[in-house]
Amino acid sequence: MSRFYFVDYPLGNPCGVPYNRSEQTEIVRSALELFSVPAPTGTVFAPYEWPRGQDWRENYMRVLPEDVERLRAAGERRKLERQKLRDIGQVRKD
Amino acid sequence: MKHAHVRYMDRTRQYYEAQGFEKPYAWANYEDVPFTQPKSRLSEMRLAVITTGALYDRQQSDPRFVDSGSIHDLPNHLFANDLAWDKDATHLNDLGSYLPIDVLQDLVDEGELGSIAPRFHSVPTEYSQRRTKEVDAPEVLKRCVEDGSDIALLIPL
Repeated sequence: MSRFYFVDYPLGNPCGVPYNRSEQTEIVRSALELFSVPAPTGTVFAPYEWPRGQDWRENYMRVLPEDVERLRAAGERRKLERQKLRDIGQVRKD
Repeated sequence: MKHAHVRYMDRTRQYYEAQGFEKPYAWANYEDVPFTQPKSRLSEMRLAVITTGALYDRQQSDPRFVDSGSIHDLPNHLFANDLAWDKDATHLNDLGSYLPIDVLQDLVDEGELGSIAPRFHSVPTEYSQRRTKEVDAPEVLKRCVEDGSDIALLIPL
């Protein structure tokens, strides 16, 4: 990775907390500064903490024992749906 | 860092495994990313913005394609119900939190950034690595070049 500015927020808001324009400006400015660094920076960690608690870290895509049946059923539906789409040609051709 | 980072790739694998998809997802990547130093200063360059969000309410089953929108006619928000962002912890109601064209325009007005390319690009997150590498990425690059972009900011949701 030659340049990556990593904001450790819940996926969906990589440029800052919604409606926090000053933070968004700081984040975007910091990301753009990486273009001026004369060597690969790798991952640069942004110094921000999600302001509404940290529970999301545990909860994101978590699979609990009670979810297993529901997820398996959802997967089955998805496979059937995909097969149906393939059968009617509703897929990318390239 | 105070908190351990979420191991997104592990979580994603476990989540799809729980759905019964045996073949683990393989992320497209290049072992060696070529590093290029821009020849100009930021204040003299044109920036292209690239997102994984969509301009329309894309369904999970819809085929996905490269798409482009105008920075002069921005939607109120992008659509991404078909993507795995954190729908419990946050929302996409503020464009500035993931497609910061207005923020970038302020930086242009202040002379920090040269200009923003007239189109931003919506890339399809594809299961097929071949499509990503051989079809979609070249298409995005073509559009960036057409718009005279010098650099690009990739902002996945």
